[in-house]
Formats: sequence, C-alpha cells, structure tokens
Amino acid sequence: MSPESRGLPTTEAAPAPFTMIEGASDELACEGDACLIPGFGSVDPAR
Amino acid sequence: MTSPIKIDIWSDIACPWCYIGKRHLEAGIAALGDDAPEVEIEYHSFELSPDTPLDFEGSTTEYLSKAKGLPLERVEQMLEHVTGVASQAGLEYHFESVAHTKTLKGHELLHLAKANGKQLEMKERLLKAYFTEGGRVNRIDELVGWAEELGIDGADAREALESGRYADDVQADIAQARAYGIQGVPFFVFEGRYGVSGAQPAEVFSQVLQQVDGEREGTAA
Repeated sequence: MSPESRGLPTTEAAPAPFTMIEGASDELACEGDACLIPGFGSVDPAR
Repeated sequence: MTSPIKIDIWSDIACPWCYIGKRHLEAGIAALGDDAPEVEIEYHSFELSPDTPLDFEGSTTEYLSKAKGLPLERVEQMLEHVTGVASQAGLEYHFESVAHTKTLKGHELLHLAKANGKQLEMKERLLKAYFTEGGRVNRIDELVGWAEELGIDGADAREALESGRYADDVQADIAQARAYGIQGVPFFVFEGRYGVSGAQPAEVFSQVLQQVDGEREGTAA
C-alpha cells in the first residue's frame, strides 16, 4: 500500500504529520549501531 | 461499519527491541479484550546498521566488542540484560548463536510476503530465526525455506530475491522513515496521527488504541 493511499504523505512531504506519544523510556528503542548493544545508545566507546 | 485502525511500524530484523515491541503491541491489543478495535498492521523496512558485514564469522559478543570498543565482559552483561527483558515478553533470545549480517534481503522477503498477504507471519518468522535460531537472514537459500514454510511459492521467492524485485520498495520505506525524522526503531504510527517510539509497555499501546478509537467514534457521532 502506498503512503498516499493510507493517508500518509510521501517522502517529499516531511516533516512527520503525527503527534508523538511520550512513552516510558528512550532505552526501549534502537538507534543506529548503538541498538546492537541494547540500552546503550549513548555510550562513548572511548571511555 | 468502521475501518480497522491502521498501524504502520518501522522496524529492522536485527533489532532486539523491535521483537520485544511487537510482543508489547500484541499484548496491548489483547489487553483490551472484546473492546479491542480491529487493527491493520503494516511493517516497513529500516536498516539500523548499514555497515554490518554480510557474513561476520564471529559471535555477537565479539562483533559488538570490536565495533564499540568495549570489553567482552561488559557486552555480555548488556546482552544478558536484554535477554532478560525479552524473556519477560515471552521471547527466547540466544545471542550466542545470532548471526550478524545485513538485513536488506530479509526486508525484501518481507515485501514479497506482504504481496502474498503474509507479512505479519513472515516478520515473526524472521525475528525468531534471527534471535532464537541463529538463522542467516541475508542468505537466499534460508529465506526461500522460510517463504515455503509459510506457503509462499519457493521458486517465486528465489526469483524475487535474486532479481531484487523488492529492493526499491525496501529503500522507499527507509527513505520514508528518513523523511519523517525516524532515527530509532521500532517506531509505530497509529492511523497516520500518533507516533510511538520504542518498545513501550503494553499499556501505552492500549491507551493509544483507545484514544484513536474514541476519536473516531467522536467524529462519527
């Protein structure tokens, strides 16, 4: 199903049209390579 | 008659929180019991770590230790932590057998499964293969096997994967996520109106569903 057909804008139509629901913790998501070490998104490997 | 509530989910396969988030969403829907609104779930591709080697021949612990410059013992502790969280969600993670790899081919298979009306089953199958069974989600032979398990024609799956029939669809999903500013997954969008980032507790998903459902009823009244 294309973004248009489900009411979402296409890639040209940033920013996101939705309201963020604040949840309990950012640690529950993966962000980039840091996700591969869950819950360790902000680690500084140099330390 | 109201249409199902659409839930769009950006997610990777090599993403421990994505599997946990899948379970939490399912639990959030189930917790509403007979009051649960009908939902339509669609998964979208996201590649968390594009620089992951195609075939890393070591353990997850070794890969992460090397990639992040952390002692092996510390990586082991962190993996034990997420294994525990997964266990609480009813999932069995075996990081000792996880095969680190790029996930793009797996995402192509998810698009083929969607075309066959079996995307949710395939998402579950690939996550289980990756985290529980040590499956290689980049290898066409293994992917074809999982397609056949779900009743998808193996020859068609092989042709689709070898030709990259769905490669553009995978990239379109990733581009859409970028356009939305999505940096982390899992990322849930309810009815195109509310975004939820992360494997939030089941209650959060229940509340969002109730809110969306209530707003629709208010609009319909």
